[in-house]
Amino acid sequence: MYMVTEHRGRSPQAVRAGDLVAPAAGPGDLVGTLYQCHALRLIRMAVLLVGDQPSAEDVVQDAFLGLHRGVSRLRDPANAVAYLRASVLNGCRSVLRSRKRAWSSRAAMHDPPVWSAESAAMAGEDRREALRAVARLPRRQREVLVLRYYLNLTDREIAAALGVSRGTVASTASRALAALARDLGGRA
Amino acid sequence: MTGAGALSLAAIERRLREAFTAAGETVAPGSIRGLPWLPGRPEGTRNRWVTHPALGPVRPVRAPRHASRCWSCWPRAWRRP
Repeated sequence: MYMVTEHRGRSPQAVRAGDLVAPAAGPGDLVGTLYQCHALRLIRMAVLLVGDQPSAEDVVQDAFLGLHRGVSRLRDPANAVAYLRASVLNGCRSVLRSRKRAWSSRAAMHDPPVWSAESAAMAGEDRREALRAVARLPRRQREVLVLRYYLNLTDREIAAALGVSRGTVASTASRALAALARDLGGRA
Repeated sequence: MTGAGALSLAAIERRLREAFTAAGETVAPGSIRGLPWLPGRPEGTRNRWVTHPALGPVRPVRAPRHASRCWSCWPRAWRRP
């Protein structure tokens, strides 16, 4: 899809993860620095939501391309990570929507690949069971759980990323955990 | 969350964290693609389609087939207007 090039930016050690520095040489430098610091974590988050690595990488690269196009309009570089997170979430929703459309045109339903192929290498049947239970949850509950328990975001940050209120985040998480407890408890 | 077989909140949270971490680690740091090629020219290079105002517009690198073979046409094909 894209031409892959070697990135000539600062080393990942030069900038701590989560730290944001003002663009030293230009907007491309800021995007490169952000990519080195946050791309892996965002791809892992997207894998948890969409289920496979190639789709997750496409979603994250599209988010960084969007950031690169709009970086001149970015007033505060500290908002870039929040923008990327929201952009990746939107991209994941688009991927899932297009998959749902493709699946609904066929008779058979498929499991998301991560719960079968990728996780085959993963040790622990209970982890796989937990991931399957998460995959059965509604989309917003899944997103809240991933943001809260994988990215360790606060309710306020989750609310900002999803564009909902903090109360909605708390109630959604509570409902998701209750459903998981019922599901996993019933299977245990 | 008060069913007979329901798990405690802490146990659910711990299982979720472990499962997410393990699933995230299936993406190895070396396996992800690099930054895609971004639109726009590379830094430090000129835009090759914009010439100096005193010069003519950019001509094709190769002349048309007839002009490249015809002795009377090829000098004009390469001449700037």
